[in-house]
Amino acid sequence: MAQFVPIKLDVSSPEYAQWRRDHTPDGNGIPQLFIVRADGETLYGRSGSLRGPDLPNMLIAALQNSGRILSAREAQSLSEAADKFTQEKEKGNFESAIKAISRVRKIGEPGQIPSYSEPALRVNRLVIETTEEVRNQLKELASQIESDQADAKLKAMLGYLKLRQDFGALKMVKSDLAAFQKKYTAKENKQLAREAKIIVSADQANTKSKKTRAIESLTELINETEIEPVRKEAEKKLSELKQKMDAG
Amino acid sequence: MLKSYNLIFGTMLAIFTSITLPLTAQTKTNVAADSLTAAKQISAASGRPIFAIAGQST
Repeated sequence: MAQFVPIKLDVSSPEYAQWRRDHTPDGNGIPQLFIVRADGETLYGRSGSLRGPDLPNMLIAALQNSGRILSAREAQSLSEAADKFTQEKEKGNFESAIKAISRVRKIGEPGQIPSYSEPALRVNRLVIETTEEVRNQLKELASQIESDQADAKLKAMLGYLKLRQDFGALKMVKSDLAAFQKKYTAKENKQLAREAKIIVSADQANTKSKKTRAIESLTELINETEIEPVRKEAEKKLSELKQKMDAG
Repeated sequence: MLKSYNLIFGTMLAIFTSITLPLTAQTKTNVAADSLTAAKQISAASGRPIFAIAGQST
């Protein structure tokens, strides 16, 4: 019984009238028994009491379709993770957002938590929305890479690398990212992918020694690349990096 | 037709407590609600399904 929220309803009360509209029972007699899942789905709704093993059998069947039940602590963890995810995502801190949501993995894989509780549904909704966003971006990037414009190809490759860095830890998009990588960073795009990685790495250099190494890599790239947009982008990054180094 | 659904409800509770249900729950805290709004809130927060019995008040 601890796994249910029991309540009595008076059939002459206004709240029962509303309840009946939401969960229409089979039959009009009383008593009426209802099992309603946490998301409002009616699992059982019939008039007449159940006898013998029928009642426990019905309850067991209902529980099997009720999803995971959360402790108060788990519900709080999910709510906090959802809040943090939303805040960090709004700031553009995607890695932090994914990290926040990943902390609840022990309850269930975010996006697929098998619970109909509101905190779990919220986390799932956020992750599914984000997964869809990433998939849409990948589709757009794929069409750019498939174009014959070198500028667009580079932009798309840089976009893919950023997307992988930001959302690579999100399990639900790992296979999409891997499929993109397999299809678009090999063969004829291999050189572009390798050179784009050098530009992205240089962009992320955050210590003096990393910046020095990035300057060397970019200089080498500028001298060796056969892709004109890569040379231009590398020159731009090199200039920015040198300015940062000079500034201190 | 039974006259009091309080009796039924009490009987049901007694039956439930003697039943060994599969424990998928992380907690065994018994949660009863004194209003439908409260029941819905508890259910939504925890994922527990609502078990409701509707009948005539005594």
